[in-house]
Amino acid sequence: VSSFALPDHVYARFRTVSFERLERIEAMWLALTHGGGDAAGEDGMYRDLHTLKGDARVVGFVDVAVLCQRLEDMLAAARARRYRVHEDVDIVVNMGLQFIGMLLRKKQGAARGGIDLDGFLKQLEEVLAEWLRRSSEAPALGAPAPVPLRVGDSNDLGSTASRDRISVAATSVYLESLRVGQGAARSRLRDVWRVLAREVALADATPLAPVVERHASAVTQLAQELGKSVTVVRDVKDAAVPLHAIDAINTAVLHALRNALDHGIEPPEMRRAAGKPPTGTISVRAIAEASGLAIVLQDDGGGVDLARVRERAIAKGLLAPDATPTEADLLEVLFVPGFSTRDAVTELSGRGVGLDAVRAAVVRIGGKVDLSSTAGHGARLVMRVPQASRTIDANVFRGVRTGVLFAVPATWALAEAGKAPPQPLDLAEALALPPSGAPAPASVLELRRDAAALFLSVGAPPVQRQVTRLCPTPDAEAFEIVDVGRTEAVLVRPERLSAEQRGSGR
Amino acid sequence: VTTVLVADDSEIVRGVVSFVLTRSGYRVVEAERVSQIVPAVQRESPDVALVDLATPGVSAAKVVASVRAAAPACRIVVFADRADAELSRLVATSKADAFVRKANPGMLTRHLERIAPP
Repeated sequence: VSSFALPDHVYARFRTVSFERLERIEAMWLALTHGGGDAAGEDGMYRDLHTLKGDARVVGFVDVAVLCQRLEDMLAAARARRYRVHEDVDIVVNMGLQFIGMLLRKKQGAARGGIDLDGFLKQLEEVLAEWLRRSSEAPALGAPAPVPLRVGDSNDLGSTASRDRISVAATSVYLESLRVGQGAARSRLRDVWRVLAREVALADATPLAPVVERHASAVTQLAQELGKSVTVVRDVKDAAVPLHAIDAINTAVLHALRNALDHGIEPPEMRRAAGKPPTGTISVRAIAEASGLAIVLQDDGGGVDLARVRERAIAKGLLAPDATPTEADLLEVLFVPGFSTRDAVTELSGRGVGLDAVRAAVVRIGGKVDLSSTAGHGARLVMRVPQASRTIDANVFRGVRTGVLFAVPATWALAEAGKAPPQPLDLAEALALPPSGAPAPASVLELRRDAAALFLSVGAPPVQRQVTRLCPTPDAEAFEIVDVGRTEAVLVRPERLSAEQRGSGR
Repeated sequence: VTTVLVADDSEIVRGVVSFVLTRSGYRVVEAERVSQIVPAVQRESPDVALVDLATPGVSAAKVVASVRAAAPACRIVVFADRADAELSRLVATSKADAFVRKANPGMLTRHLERIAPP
């Protein structure tokens, strides 16, 4: 009977009492998981949660009751393990308590306002199941297993649906943190937000090591078939690359390694004659750079024979006989499809491998490849992989009654302030943010995209900035949290605002 | 008029039940603690006692027996947030008369009307 309405004072009292319970539960959970707490307090925690559940049921806050039930299961499992819980369990318990708080704040009967409860419940179940599984494998005593357990772990890594779900949940947690005012609740919510944003970032990155590992051992084997000897030194640690780039990187690393073996590393007798150890070395390193990741392949082979490259380039008509190419020009020739400085078609180059394939793959994902060489001492190939583009252009401005920064994508163009409607939209109000600080003098900003116009109350003129997407939400979502250089802003997609959020401003 | 005693340690549950039942024409009296149940039964002679008998540390059978001794005609209804199967077991072991699951208040009136109309 969802239409059943109780008097306002009942809801008000329910909220007050429930928040008190939440606070006690949170404090006791903190104590218990840090080796403190007493039996009476522990019993009180279960009683509080159980009563909260029953209250929520009779008052008609079904979501809260469902969440309480899940938390009861979680707490019971934690009790059985004397509260030696994994960090992730601690996080979801705290998140669960925060979510209950968020649901309690909602008006009775109001939409969930972007709270992805189903997604969160699923996540809670996953963490619980995973934890139970892991802890049943672990010895009964001792520290919790130091296995990092992630939301949407490994096999779920490619699931953009799961990533989106977490992004949306993270965004609503952040927005809620703006509503609760300064203090412990805010910093708690911000912690939850950071954890979720990190999960999103992790879900979008895939480790490089397995790719390098696979090709390194293949190349070592291939070396034997070619009568060569090579050691591939790997130093990629926990470097990760964007999910969408992994296939291209796989191809690039494969061809780069084969190329280094085929064209770089000399046969043992030749190496001995040059005073080198008979076994060649190819090192693969991953270096984090500001703009992304550099995968560096260095070999101690013969280096590029520039004179020979020149000869062949002329023979193939790639270079005029009287040209005076620089070293860089000649190295560039190596990337021309099908070019090879070898006369004999080897097993490897016969398959059409080469630097052209490396470059094609890396360029496809927006990266670039550089080659340098020292005659007699080897070559160095640097493949630069950009981070997934996480920046967008936006107009950033401060809200009217609040210190919060807002951003609107620059696809909404600034229009000359013409005739403003009587009531421009106040984003702080649309988000139900509490007023803070002195009210700034409001001016009206007009934004246009195609035929649509939007009038916003702003506290200061907008500045166009490149903002970084911290936790990208799908395009269908109205809000997202972005970084505006050391501080965060709420990115708004005006076209996605609900009629309710637009209020009378439109 | 039918008098209902609501015994529950949650003021919210008591408040909601009181509101709903009063609106449906019942007279409602409340008890917060288990120790207040028998005095309230003696004082108010309710027709129905809604008692949360699924509270840890409370012997349901003992509570039922003491209410019966104080008011033999009072119908005793187990009122708790548990699965139906569990509630019906609790009714059997405690020798109560019926159970009503703690759920939304609309359902409460409907269930209670079957046990004792207002």
